[in-house]
Amino acid sequence: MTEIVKVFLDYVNVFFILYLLVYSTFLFLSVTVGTSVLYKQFQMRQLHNELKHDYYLPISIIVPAYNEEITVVDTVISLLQSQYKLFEIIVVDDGSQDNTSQVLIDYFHMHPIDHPVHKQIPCQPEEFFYQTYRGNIPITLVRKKNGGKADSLNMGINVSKYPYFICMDADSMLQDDALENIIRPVMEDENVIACGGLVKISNGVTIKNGKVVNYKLPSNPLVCMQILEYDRSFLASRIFLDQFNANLIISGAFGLFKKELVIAAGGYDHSTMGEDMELVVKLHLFCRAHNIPYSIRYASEAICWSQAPTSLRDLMKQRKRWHLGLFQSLWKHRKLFANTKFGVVSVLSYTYFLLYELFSPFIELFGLATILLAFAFNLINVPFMILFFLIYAGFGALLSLTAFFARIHTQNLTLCLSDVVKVVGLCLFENAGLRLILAFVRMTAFIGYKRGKHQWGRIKRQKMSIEL
Amino acid sequence: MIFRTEVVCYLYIAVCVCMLVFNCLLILYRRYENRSLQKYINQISALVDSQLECLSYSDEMHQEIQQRLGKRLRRIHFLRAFHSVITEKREEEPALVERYLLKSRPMFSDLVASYRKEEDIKQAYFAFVMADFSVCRWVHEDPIIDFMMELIVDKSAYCRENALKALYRFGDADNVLLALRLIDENNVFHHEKLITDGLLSFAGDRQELAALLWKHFHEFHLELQIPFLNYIRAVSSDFREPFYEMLANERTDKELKIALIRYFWRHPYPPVAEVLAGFLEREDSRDWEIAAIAATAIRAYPGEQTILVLRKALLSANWYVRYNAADSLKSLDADFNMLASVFNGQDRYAREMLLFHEQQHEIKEQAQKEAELV
Repeated sequence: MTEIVKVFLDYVNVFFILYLLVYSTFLFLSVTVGTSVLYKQFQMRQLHNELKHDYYLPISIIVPAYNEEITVVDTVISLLQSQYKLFEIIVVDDGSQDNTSQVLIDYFHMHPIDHPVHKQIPCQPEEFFYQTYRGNIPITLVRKKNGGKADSLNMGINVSKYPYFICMDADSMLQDDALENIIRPVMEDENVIACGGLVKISNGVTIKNGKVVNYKLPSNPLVCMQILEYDRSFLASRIFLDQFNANLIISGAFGLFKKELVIAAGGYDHSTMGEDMELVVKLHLFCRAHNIPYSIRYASEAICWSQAPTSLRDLMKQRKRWHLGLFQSLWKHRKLFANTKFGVVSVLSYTYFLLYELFSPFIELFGLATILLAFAFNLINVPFMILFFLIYAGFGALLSLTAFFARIHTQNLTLCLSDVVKVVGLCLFENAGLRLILAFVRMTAFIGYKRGKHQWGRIKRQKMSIEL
Repeated sequence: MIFRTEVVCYLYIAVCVCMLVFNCLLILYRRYENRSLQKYINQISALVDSQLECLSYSDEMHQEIQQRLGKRLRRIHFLRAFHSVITEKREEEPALVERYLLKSRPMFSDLVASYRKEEDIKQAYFAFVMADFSVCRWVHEDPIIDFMMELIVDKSAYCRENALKALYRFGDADNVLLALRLIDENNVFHHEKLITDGLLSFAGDRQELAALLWKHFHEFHLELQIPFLNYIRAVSSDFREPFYEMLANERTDKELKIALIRYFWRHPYPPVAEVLAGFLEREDSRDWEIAAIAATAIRAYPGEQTILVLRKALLSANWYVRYNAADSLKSLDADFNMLASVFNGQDRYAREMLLFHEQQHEIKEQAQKEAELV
């Protein structure tokens, strides 16, 4: 029996060494590439390598909202502070149970209007429309029957009048140059059909006239750890994969799309929780299937500030939803799996998301079970195991710090000494503690999972630090 | 298999520590860079001041100082410092600084050889500075202009954009045409919006440029023809006759027709009304974009016939044609009696479109009034 277990554990060892080696290499490469890209962009900004023009392409900004009475007005205000000149704002109230529509109507003195809808993609019926203007910028409010975030975005697309649209969350704020920066890849390359922006955590940040006037790490350690995690993952899965046109995700919090193609591909999918990822994967498939030359880009200078969950409960709910969304997107487009016809999107991105995002909690659980098995048969070297764990956690922590500081330096943000100490202290715990907790959450995400349920991710909202 | 896992782990840790050290060094370097930039600014400022002083009472400058400046500006940090100094001094004494910059053209021309060897980012910056200083204003030939032409092909979009900006600012129409020809012949993608906006920043004689672009119009591909038309639309109404012929020609490309219709929206030409009405009446589902833009542009030709055509367009199967027709009817303030058949008719979509534009117009006016009160 011991011999069998020994052989089994030998195989497990080889598997885990390879698994971790590939992961570490990917992470290392992505942080290195991401950091160098950030520094290069910083140098380009300093040396006026820019495409600055008075008039850009017109953009429709779609803000889906569900029970967002606390934040929705600030979000619209932040949009109005943009340096960009040609855009419209469409807020889609997805049958909120609070006063989301009313606060907007009151604050912006909106008027009812019978707005015709060009229904090019299916969505729930509208209940009413309100509209107003701020200068030349139309602000349209659509109140519709509840149907979920994807459904609201589809309604926004149907109502929009410009050839490019931006989706963003109702709890997010854009920097004043964010629109200019997110459209820039379209001006550089005619084949760009979508472009993601950099989503950063707004807790602790004060924004005035669309500019960050005070950047301080929040006192809540959970939020600080999420900041580290965001920086690492944005460098890893966004900037790195961007080098190969292989991004599978454009965050729902801030992304730009070519409307014509999104409509041709069928719009957002109502049946998935990860509608943002599903759309991007679908666009890859659609363009390749129809031989459309395309590029899906990532603009790290287009910055959107979004609220992060402040309690572990909210964070767990959010991550559970993200994991289910990931599963649904990967399952729905499973023909990408090991399909060389789809090139790097299949071989690199799909495989990465499958093995290191979707399956990782189960693989980690399997690892823990084999540790217990090895214990039971006295086949484990405990000091080495601890050393290995510490090295692994230290490795992750160092990469997180590199990513974090690279972002701070290249965006001209300044940190006080106490914040630096806080970050250094928390990066270890983020890697050794929070990561494990979130792995458990992702593993249990499927418990109570119901297909086709239209859900909005709810976290406790706070008033944003925005100064007019 | 003997696999020393810990060696790999230590290796990764070592690499990460190197990255952290790199980050720390970079912070220190940036602090040093900021301080040294200030130092360079002070040095350059002293040199520029003495030249400006010289120029303020005579027409000559110190050649030795100019040579020293020329040597320093080969380095990008000094060029940044120089740009910063000139920007500041230009606010104080614009005329004197302009004179100084024009007189310094030989010095900038000598810099070309150095920047030709530099990487794209620095070349783009050099072009940016040349554009900002307009050193070759109304000059037809110069090594700087040759260098800008080189930057247009086979370089980054930023190099191209800054080089084009410089040529627009220099104000020589022939050189602008030559640059655009290079883009066209080499099949370089430069967004039509960037070209249109760039042409609009042309510092020379705009009418002359418009005439030149039209003269050579048919030598260019469609990708360049459209921004040319957009530019001409913004600067001149002298092209109505030739453009009318082009619009009336059935073989003209759809995209060109759309650009031409926009031209006639801005610069009305009575014979065009009939052509636009024709586009609306003979609406082809494949060319619905032409009908849609015609429904907008026809508002520049008010009259009973236009109202009748638009009323018919309200019943179009195409959403955009209906939308634009309703918008035009609203802007023409069409008489209710003429639209009664729509309001009382069976087509709900046509009625809704008219009502929507009516309401939207009121909301816009209301918002304007409120803004004025604030």
